Amino acid sequence: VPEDLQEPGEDALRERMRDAHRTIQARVVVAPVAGVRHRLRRRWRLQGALLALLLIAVAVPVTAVWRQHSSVARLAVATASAGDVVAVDLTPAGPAVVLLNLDNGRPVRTLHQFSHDPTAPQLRGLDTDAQGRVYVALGTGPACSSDVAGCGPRPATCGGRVLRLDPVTGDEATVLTVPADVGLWGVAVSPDASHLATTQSDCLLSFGDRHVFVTSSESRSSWSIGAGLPNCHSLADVHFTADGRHLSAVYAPAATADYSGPSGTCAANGPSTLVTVPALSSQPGWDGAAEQLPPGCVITSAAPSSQGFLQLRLCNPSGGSPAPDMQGALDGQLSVDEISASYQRLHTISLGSCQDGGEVTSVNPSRAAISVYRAPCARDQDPPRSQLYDVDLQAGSADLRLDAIQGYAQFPDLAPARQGG
Amino acid sequence: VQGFDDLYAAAYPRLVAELTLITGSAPEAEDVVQEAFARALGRWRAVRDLDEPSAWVRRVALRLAVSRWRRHQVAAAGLRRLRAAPALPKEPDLEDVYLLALMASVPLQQRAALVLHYLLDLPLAEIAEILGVPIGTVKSRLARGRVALARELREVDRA
Repeated sequence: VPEDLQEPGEDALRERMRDAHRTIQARVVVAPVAGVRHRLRRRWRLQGALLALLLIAVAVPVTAVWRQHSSVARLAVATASAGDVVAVDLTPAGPAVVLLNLDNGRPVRTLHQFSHDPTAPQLRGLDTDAQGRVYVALGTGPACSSDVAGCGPRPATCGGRVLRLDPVTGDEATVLTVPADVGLWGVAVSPDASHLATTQSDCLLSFGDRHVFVTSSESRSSWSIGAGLPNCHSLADVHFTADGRHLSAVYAPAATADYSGPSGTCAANGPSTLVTVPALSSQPGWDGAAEQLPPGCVITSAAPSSQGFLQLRLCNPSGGSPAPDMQGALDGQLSVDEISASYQRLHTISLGSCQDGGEVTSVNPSRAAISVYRAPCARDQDPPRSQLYDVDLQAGSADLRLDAIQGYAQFPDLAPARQGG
Repeated sequence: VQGFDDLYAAAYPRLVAELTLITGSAPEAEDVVQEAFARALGRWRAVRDLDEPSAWVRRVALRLAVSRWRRHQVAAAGLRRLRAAPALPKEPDLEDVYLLALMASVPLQQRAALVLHYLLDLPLAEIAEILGVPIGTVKSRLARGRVALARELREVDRA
C-alpha cells in the first residue's frame, strides 16, 4: 500500500478530532434562546402560509409561477381604446402586461412580455396612474433553506423593484427598489403619480403580516401604514382613492392571538372588509373607515370608482364564514357592488354561486371589468373555470367575455387604462 | 418551557462544534443546530421524555446538514456547467483549527461518519441509523474518509 494511502492511527485521529472539537466549542458563542423561539414561531407561521398557498393555488392564480424574462422584450407603444383595461395575462410563454379589450375579452396589445425565468423577480401586481403609465411590482424571494414544510426562508433573500412602463412613449424605468430584507407584494400609485404605495413584509413567506410603505416623489419622504398590526392579519388589494389622499384595502384583522390557530398557525383571519385610511400620514395600524357587512359576507376585492368603490362581495347563504374548504371551493354567492365613498350601496349585480372572488377594476363611470376564478363547487363536479365579466353598472348586467376551463385565472390582475388615441 | 433552556445552554456549544466539523462551516452549523432546537421545542413534550434529548437534536441537525449539502452539490454542479467557481465558506475565527480545513476535502457524508465514530464514539449500528444507510456503507465511508484524511494529514505534517 502506498504510504500516502495508509490510514492514520485511529487513536491519533480520535485525539486530533477531539482537540479540534474542544477548540471550536470553546469559541462558540451561545445564541440567545429567544432566537430559537422566534424561529419556531416563524416555522408555524410558514406552515400556515404553506396551507394558505395550497388553498390559493387552487382558488386563485399562483403568482409564484410568474417570472420576469432576463432580457425583457421592448415595450410596445400603444394607447388604449374605450373598453380597454390593463391586465396581467398568463400566456403560455409567461406572464404579460397587456391591454385587454373588454368588448371581446381578448388582449389587443402586449405592453411587456415576461417569461418563466426561475431566477428572475416575480410579477406580483400592477396599477396605473391617470396618465395611463403602468406600475409593475417585481418581487424576489425568499430563498428556501430547507426542503421541509415551511421552506425555511433565508434572511435577506427578498427584495424587488417597481417598474414603470409608459405605453405611449415606450419608456420604462425602475422607480423604486426595496432591499433584500423586505418582501415586495404589490404596488399602488396615486392618480397624479405623486405617491407610490408598496405592499411589503419582512423577508418571510408570510401571507398575512404585511404593511404598506408610502413614498412621496415630491417630498422624497416615506412612511409606513400598518407596520404595527398584530400578526395574523391580512392586508390586500391596496389602492389610492381618486383624490389620492386615502388608501383603500381589503383588510382582515387578526382573529387569533399570534399564531395560536390550529397547529400553531394563523390560518384563520377575521372577516375581510373594505377599510379606507389616510394615505399621507403614518400609523401603526389600519384604522379608518370600515364598511359594515352582514354576517357571513366578506370582501374579496375592491377598487376605487368614480362614485366611490367597486367591490366583490362573497356571502355564505347559511350565514357562516365563506372561507375556503380543503378543496379550495368557497360555495359562496358572489356579487359586485358599487358603493359610495361613505359605503352606501349604489348598485349590486349577482355573479352566481360557487365563486372564489377575483379581481375588479373600474373601466369608466358605468362600466367595470371582473376577472374571477371559479373553483369546483363542493356540491357539483364542474371543472375549475376562469371567467371575465364586462359589467354594465347602470343596466345591472354582467356579460361573460371569457369562460375557459383552466386551473387558474387568466387575468388575475386588472387596472384602468388610459383611453384615447 | 421547563427544561428546554437548560438543555439548550448545555448542549448548544457542543453540538455546534460537532456540526462545524461535519459541515465545515460554523454559521451553517449554528443555523442547523438552532433549527433543530426549534423543532425540539415544537415537540418538547415528546423530546424531553427521551433518554437523550440532545441526541435527538443532533440527529435532526445532522439530517438538515446532509439535506443542505445535497442541494449545495446540485448548485455546485450548476455552477460548474456555467464554469463559475462556487464560493467556499471562510472561517476566519477558526483558521488555526487545521483539521477543519483538512476535513473540507472529505465529502460531507464521510465527514459525518468520521465525527460520529471518532469524536462521539457511537457504534456503527447507531451511525447507520442516524445517517439512514446500511452498516456496510458506514464502514466504507469510514475507510474512505480515513484514507482521504490521512493524505491531507501527511501533507500537513510534511509541511
